[in-house]
Amino acid sequence: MISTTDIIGYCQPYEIATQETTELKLSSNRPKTCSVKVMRVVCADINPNGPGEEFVEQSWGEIQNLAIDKQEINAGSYAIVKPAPEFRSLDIITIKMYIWPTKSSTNCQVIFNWGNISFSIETDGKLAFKFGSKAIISPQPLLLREWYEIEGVINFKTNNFYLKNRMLNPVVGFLPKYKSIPEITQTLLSTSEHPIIFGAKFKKSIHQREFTSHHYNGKIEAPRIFINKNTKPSVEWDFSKNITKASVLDKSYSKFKATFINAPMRGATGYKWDGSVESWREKPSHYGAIHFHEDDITDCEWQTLLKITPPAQARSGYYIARILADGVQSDIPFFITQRLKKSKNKILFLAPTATYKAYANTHVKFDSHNTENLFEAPISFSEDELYLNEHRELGLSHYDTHSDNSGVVYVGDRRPMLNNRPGLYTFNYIDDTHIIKWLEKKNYGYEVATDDDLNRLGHSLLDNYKVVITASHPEYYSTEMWDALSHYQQNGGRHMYLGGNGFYWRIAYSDQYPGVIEHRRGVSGVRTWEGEPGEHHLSFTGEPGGLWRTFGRAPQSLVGNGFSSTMFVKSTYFRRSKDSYGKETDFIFKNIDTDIIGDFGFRGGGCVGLEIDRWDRDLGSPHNSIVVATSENIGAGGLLTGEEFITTTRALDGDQNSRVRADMVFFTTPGGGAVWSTGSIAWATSLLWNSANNTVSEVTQNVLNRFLENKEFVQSE
Amino acid sequence: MLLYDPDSAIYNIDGTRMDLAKEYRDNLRGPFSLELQRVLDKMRTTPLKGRLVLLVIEPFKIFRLARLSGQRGVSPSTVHDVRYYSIAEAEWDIFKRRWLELTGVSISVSDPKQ
Repeated sequence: MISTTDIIGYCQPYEIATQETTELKLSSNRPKTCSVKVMRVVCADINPNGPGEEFVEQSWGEIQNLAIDKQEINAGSYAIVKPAPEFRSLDIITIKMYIWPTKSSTNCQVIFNWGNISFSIETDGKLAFKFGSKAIISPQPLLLREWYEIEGVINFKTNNFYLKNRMLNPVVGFLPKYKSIPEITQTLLSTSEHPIIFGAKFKKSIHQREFTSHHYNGKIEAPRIFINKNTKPSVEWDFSKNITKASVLDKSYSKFKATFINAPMRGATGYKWDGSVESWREKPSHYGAIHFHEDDITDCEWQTLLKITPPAQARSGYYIARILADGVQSDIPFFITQRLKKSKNKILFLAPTATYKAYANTHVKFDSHNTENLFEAPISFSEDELYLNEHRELGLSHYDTHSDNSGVVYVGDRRPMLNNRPGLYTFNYIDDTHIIKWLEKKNYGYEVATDDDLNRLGHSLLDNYKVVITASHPEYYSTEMWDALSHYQQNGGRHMYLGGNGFYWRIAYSDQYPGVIEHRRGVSGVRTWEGEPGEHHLSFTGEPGGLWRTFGRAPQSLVGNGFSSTMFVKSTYFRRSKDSYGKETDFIFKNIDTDIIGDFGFRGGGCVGLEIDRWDRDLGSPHNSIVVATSENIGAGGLLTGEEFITTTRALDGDQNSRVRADMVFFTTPGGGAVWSTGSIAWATSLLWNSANNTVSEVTQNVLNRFLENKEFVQSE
Repeated sequence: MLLYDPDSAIYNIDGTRMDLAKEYRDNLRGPFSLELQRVLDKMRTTPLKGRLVLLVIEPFKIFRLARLSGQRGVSPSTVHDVRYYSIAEAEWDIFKRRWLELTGVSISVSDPKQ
């Protein structure tokens, strides 16, 4: 068997324009050399019973006999202060902070480490204050998800040290306060020569890069260091400051910067949080904590093995660097985007790279109790998925929980992403390439840009194009992305939405963590985890996170339809509506002599499937929007999403509830523009059925051809 | 914070209901009778530890039966060397195995004709 995981890697940046450079970073588990070929992805679906995989080999970027080796990943978040303060005339040093531990572990978890001083949670759950080779250990294990103030004191004059801890909300059976008997001290290592680390133990430093171990799972708040008998901290950090940033200066000198590595969670509720506010912007003092996780990763920081620079004439699109070695074929994805110059092509396809990141390296098949029941079939695992399970250091998806069961709020692209490439995981990336192949098969000239471009450039990215196509499942949208698409629509743009469950969750990008997006699951929507109370606001921007629908922007208000249901068992078809026979929408079904559209397809046998959207005027579908087709025969396999019902009843499936449906919607917009939304992920995966000779393809072509005409759409009343 | 309950599936399957086994054998993808649906819901929400799954040996062609470890990072363990050559074959065999495990009764319904 050919292995897809003996060599893994990533391209940094993930999204480039022509003549920009992406750096290929590879790690090998076995081969010592490999070759690299760059290929443009036309269709990444490798299923022999699918539409047919298709890759176009490029004449650039190829290399033979590239030497490769294993590269390390330092997963786990922490804060580092380097250089650390230096204290002269040191008689007594006192270190205090608040902690909220979240995991019992078979590994020692280091909360604080400075030279030969540390606080840690031992494998039996007890708190330890260590100095040199000596340790003081609390008599009782710490309770998880409870606040403690911990204090360690070293007195060089009396030659002893001790540990105190105090439970902020005492619980019956547990000591509210504990103070150890003083132990004899060791020699203090020079404090200024060693970095202060919060959330891990310092391991080694190679080429200015720190490696850590013994990562802590839980929150830390208000670390303070007192010197001698001073009652005021000599140095302290207030983590409620600079929440949008990747570092914070100390309060006393504004000199000792705590830099956050691998994005521990900011905007976390602290010990003062009392439920009086939901947002860190309202009362920052209630959000003084940072939540560290042993499995956070935002950047693998691997060495570059090859620089790839597409020539000016390279087409925009989905690309892979195909890595070949003895018994290995492993594809590393990247995108060439058209964002630098005006194109002669009139169509822009928006590759939903934010959504790809959100799903990257998902572990739900392993970790989530309900996955099999959601998909209603036995779960099967590919080599890539088995590898991801064994190598948690490759990072998690927005669908996963950390090892302490808290949700994953930051995901990035500076790591191997094994399910965003040709392979067996078809959702999103592979399904979207059905659209790419269809565009090529029908000889449309098009360009590709990405979510990252849309977020940074706004509507100026879109303005040059007659038609913008969004993909099969563009689920994760930042405010900037939403506003850009809305501006385009409202100024004569023509938007084709060829998918389902789009524009659903709010995310944000940050210049502090390149390639990373943030998302908070909130308390509604189809979720694989629920956010902690009070922690639903994005740390990158301060915006409320969760469903766009919660903020008065249901997807219906952007594209006419919005998420209603999942249906993973079987797909079905659309029936053309009576309203569609009007003058305004007749063009959509031109030369199609049936009202039944799409009773076929590569996902579940129909064009209505997987995740579907419905029209609803009350949720914001434009007053002039027309439902041109509606699904039929969804059956009991269709299940309403949680936000679509108010009272729980038995009647929540497609046999019983009319909201379990897909509506295909069309509306005109100011300036002669229009929007056409299919409302089903399986629409995209039906386009290529029967070599693209089918009604789904014909309907899409009718719309695209009309959208490409200069003739303005007359705004309907 | 709401977490998953590994023991959430409380429906008891009546192991003597061979009519439900036959219904499943003859129509693996549904729609199902309400009783059969409950049987399947139960089977699909058993605790992760020990749950039967498939490993892809050759994409789209060969699958191997395995059990989830229920522990992060720990690979599924294979069940003897049981292999399947179609998803449908696997679904039916997994159904029979789960029926026996959950009810103590072996399914006496014959296998589907190939």
